Amino acid sequence: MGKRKLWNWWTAGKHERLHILTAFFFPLLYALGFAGLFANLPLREIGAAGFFIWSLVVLLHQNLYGTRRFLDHFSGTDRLPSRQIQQISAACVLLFLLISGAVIFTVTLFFPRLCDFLAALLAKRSGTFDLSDEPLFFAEQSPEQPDLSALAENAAATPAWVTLVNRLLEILAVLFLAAICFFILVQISRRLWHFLTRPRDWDDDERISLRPALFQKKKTDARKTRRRLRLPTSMSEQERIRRLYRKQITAGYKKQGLKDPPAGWMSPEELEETAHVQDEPLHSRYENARYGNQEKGSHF
Amino acid sequence: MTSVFIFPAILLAMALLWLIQGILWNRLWQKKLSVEISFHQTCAVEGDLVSLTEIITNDKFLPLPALHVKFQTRRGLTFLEQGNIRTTDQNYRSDIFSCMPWQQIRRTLNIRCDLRGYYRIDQIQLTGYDLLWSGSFVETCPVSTALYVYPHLIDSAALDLPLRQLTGEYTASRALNPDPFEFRSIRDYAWGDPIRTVNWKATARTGDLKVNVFAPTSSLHTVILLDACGYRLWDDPDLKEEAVRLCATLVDTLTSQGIPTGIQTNGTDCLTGEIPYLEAGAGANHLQAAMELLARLDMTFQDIQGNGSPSMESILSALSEKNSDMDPAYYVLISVNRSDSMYHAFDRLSHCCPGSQWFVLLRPGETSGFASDTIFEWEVPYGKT
Repeated sequence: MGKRKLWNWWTAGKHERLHILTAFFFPLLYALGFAGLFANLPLREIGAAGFFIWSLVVLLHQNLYGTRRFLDHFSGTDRLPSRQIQQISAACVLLFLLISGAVIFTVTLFFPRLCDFLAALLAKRSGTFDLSDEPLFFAEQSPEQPDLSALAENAAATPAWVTLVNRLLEILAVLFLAAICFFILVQISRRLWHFLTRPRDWDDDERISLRPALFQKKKTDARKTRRRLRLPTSMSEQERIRRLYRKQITAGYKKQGLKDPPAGWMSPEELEETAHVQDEPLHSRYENARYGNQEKGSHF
Repeated sequence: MTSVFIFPAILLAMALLWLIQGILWNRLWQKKLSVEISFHQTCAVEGDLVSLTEIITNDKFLPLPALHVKFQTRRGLTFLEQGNIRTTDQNYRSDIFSCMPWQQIRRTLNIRCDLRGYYRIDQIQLTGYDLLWSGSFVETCPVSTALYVYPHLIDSAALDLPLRQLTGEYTASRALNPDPFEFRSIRDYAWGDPIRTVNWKATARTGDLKVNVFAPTSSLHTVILLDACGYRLWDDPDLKEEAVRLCATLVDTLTSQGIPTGIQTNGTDCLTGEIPYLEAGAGANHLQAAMELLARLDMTFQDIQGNGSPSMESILSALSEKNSDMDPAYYVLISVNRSDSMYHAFDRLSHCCPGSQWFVLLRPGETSGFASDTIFEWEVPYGKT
């Protein structure tokens, strides 16, 4: 394949692989920086930063291209949730790109240092390579600082209260900034949650937002009742249940403003209906205690 | 100044991220993901509209950009949204969902029941994709949902005559054949009463001749013989389906009149692979059992060399040889087959069990050539489903 054909193949025939071609552009730029061409331009830095951005663009492209290909392939499908697919894909890839950016940046910081370290180790053993001659990574020397001490000879000492105020203002500023950051984070997470759980009528499908297990009530009503029933008395369990039930019913009667005490002939349903009390676990336990085989008697 | 190692470092990090997201989705996509599929009804009749609900629950933090849910059913159900279906030997349905974190999606599909049958969905295939669409993951899940589609009942005046003939025969026989073990009451002797029915104890006590009255025989019943065998070399499934509908109509009509009716066939049960047989009965549950049997009946007959199904001629011969006094029954034969051997077998059965009938199913322009008042020609127009 000749050079012209290769070029045509990349640019015309296979557009979808054009991003691979662009990958060579940034190292080339970097090499040009070494060659000394365009000496007034920071070509090496542009090359490195461009390659970093290119990597993120490639990941984004892969997601967008995959989504488009999937949606095109199933375009004839009934009830294809294309908008939700795009939305989820976009939200996920945004998060993924943020993480990718952080990870790639971190790796680019540490990987060359690791390589330098390995090279230095190798050189130390072989004695042929000295790193101090040509620092490879971020080893720029800062120019000498001018001596300005002569200018400050006549200045008076700072009063103590100014230092204190300055310190306090610093603390306040930090607190203020922290509060603003916290507020922004809360608002972002709230809006994100609202965005995720907002009902959308894109199609005929019914969508229900579930409550994450993390935020679910750990203590169920039954467990709460069990805890309430653990009274430190010498009464039997049935007696304790009845006592608790009586307390709830009498409290309900009081709340309703009823003067007559609960009648002994009333069934638990009637009592609860009159007192406007709803406690299903306690109700079932009371019925067990009241109508069970172990103890019999009136309601209270 | 930057190092030249920055390029492989970026490439390496990118490859690692690509790999990690693939592994993450591969490991987690099916965790806390549940798919349920169920028919709204358990039974329907041919032509009815039913619903099928798919419930997808993604109870985790990881979203699923796309989730393919695929399942298959027997042909005979028509999904009203036809875009997602491919029909070959079966209906292959494929639905696409997209699940947010902690989300449940319910999709209801409308289905028209075109053909009777037993439609079962016992597994679904799930396909998930990762974030960069570079990989797909497949999982098969067991589900259990089924729908009975009962045969449509025929509403035709042409059935009146044979039915009236059959019910008349039944009523007359009940009166003529008292069951000696089913004592009903005692009455005065009348001229013509057999002497063996005289109740001597009651006669002695009252001084007049008293006779026992017995209830009509309770074992008299009707058996519908449904033939799954064809007549020509090529099969005519529409004709056989009409035979099943005719059978269902007869069972429905007879049981509603309190006549115990059973079904004997040489087709196979699509669920068990065995030849089904329904004892005579007349209750509401019996009608349901009969309809379920007919729904599950596979009418693609194979002869005895194929799967061991007996021919209807052999069944008729066996019934002719049975002592009709021990098991008094009326037989209604429904068959597409109008061969001479079938005619002779039915003739023998008619002699043993008078009142038996034969419905011969034909296409327009065809004739059975049999001249008998117990053989009825049932014409099925072309294109009738």
